[in-house]
Amino acid sequence: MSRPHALELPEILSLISQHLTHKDLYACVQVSRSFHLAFSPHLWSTVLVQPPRYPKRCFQFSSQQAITRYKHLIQGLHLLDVFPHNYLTAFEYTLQELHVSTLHNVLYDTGVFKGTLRQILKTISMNANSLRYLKLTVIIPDQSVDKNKEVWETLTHCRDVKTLEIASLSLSLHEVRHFWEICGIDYGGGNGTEHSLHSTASLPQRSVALKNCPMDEWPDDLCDDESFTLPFITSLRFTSQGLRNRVRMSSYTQGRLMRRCINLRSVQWFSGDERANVLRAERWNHQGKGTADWFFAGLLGDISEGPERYWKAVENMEGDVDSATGAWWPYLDTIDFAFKPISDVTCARLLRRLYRLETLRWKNPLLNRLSMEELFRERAPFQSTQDPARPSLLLSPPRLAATTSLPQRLCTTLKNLDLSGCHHVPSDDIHRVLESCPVLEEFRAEVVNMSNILRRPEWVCRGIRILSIGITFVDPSSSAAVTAATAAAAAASSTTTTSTTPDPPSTSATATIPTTATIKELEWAVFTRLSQLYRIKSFVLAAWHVPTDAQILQMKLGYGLELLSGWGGSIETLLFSYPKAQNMVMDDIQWILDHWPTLKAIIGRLLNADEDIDKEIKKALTNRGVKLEYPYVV
Amino acid sequence: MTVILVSSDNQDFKVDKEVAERSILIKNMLEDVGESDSPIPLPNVTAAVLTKVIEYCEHHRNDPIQVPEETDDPRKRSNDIEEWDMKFMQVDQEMLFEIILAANYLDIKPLLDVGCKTVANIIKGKTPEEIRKAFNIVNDFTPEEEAQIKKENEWAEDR
Repeated sequence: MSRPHALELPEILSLISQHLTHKDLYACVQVSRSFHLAFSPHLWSTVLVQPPRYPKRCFQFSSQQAITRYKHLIQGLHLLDVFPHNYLTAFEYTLQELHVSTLHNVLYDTGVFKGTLRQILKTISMNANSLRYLKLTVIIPDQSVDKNKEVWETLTHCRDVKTLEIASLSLSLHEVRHFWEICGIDYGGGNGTEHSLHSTASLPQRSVALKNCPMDEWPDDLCDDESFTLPFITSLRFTSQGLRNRVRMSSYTQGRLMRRCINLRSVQWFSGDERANVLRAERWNHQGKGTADWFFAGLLGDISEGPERYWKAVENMEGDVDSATGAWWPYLDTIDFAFKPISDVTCARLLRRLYRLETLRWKNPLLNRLSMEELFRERAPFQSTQDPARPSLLLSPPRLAATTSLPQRLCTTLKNLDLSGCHHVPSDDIHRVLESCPVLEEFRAEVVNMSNILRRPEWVCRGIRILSIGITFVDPSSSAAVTAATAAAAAASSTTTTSTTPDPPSTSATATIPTTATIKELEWAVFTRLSQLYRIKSFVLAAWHVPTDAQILQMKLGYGLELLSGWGGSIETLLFSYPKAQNMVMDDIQWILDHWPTLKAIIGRLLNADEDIDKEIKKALTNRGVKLEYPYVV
Repeated sequence: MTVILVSSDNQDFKVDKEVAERSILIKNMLEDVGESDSPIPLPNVTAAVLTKVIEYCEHHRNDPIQVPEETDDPRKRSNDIEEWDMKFMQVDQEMLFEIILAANYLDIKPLLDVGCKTVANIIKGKTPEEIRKAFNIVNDFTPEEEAQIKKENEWAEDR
């Protein structure tokens, strides 16, 4: 027939070839001339050369010749454990894939290797424009640092390489540094875990995977070398897909890695959230206690004699915040850390490194004075050109492009502060937050003693939307109060190890009502301040850990509730989160319903200790559509 | 709505429009022609082949239109031919290749795929001599040529 046979149509042959292995294609090309012609391109498009399985077969020589003959068909070349220079001479401008692995059979002495390496580099250079995939599983000897520079420079010519894998058994920090100075990187931890570092969008889009690099064995002298930086990395993500939460890179090394990333804006563990500028640990599953501190030790470079000593130091609260300057992250503005208690010293040291903080959620029962102090501390103005270690590599942050100096006190930029669970934070510091954070929008803390409110400055956080604190009135000078405070702290931190030994709570604590002013006067002062919060959306009295006799703020007429008419435009939720009843009466509720039309929910276990009144109150609220349970996230 | 397809040997086939439109070629033709009743000539397809093609399209009339997948390795897909399709493809070789050609001409991708997979399955695992027998092909190599080709392609054998 005049019509062509199906096996003569190239598109059909192509479709058939797609389903055939190389072995099948090998059989096909031997069938007949037309089959040979038809299937050779498919067979030769990707060539794999490896040592013969059976020593009797010595095809290498003829394969070399064949590769030369068919080079115009070859798009991908995989040379596994063979002398690569025998095969590479032929190629120019046509290779799209090149994979060279010289791990086992190659005589690894420098002389032979150098020649091989030269050949590999030459091939890469000649095919730089066509290469899309390059994988080099080569051991690059430590000695020849200059040679390595040549390698990296060659690699930079491959502008269109989309995937580059360099799996090296002994990739030293020297090589890493050279390469990372040239282009962006994407580091893969191998073996089912993945540590990926993404280069910024403003740099050339390249993805480089470094697999199986023993990052944990970075030599100490280099890992603490301040001049070695990784300026192209702005986000770090440590994930462990597949293996159940076993992260290959130790937390110590993660910290050390982070230190090198001077333009770091975000760090994430196990999270897919792409929010920038975030330091977040959602599920910290490293084994052993103290791994969080260990991580920070690596992070902050505070180790001089090894991790064990540091852990002891942490336990004994040794060391001071000022030690070991160096790493800082001027653009890191969010810290979101749950679960693991980290020593106050370490928290403080981290905060010392930041210049701009917008969100701090750190439910850490060990957080105390040192850390809080960092929020208010004045620091020298930041100038990007100042530090000799990182003069020109620092990227200018887009949001701060107009300014050359960053805020000098963390509290001036703080928007969200969540200190719930941090029972050691002194009352004074909670006061200071209210008095020093002008753009605060959300603030959660534990108990704060407001007995000295009359002597304190005004609150500046007038625009706050969510406020959750346990406002109490305890005479701070009374010994009972001191005992009560430490008892509360001890009760709260009974499951964590802390070096402060609390007073034994055996002496019963009865809070003395302050003698310098009546309770009403104090509450009135507090309510006056509260009334200035013109945007408040949610107000929570969270006072679970107060001594039983302490006086909690009372949201009642006569105590100051009437001052809060200004809340009427915004308040949505009122929450009483403590075991006692508020003892509100019908008048209070009526006032609330009259003045707060935006109110959506009042939540408290017992609004009044008397169950009948409580029922009446709740009925009135429900009739007006105010919910009594959690309608939404407070 | 039905359409009339005419094979190369002038046989008429009445099919539902929905069935006929599994062929992209016919679909485009119908869109160009509009609401006409005129039969569609298919000069490259004989009646016997057209019967089989229509049988395939009838059976698969409700299949979703396939989106070409680019990511997976086609070599792994060879095994997943539906049982009905497998039985459908148990025809003599001449018919097999005719179906492939027809599917190619009529642009019925799933049928083309199945046809090619079937051919691939015939080739798989066979020595060159067995392939020759399967497709009735004459070996036109000289012995020297044959040896040379075998040697220079040997790298592929262990793949």
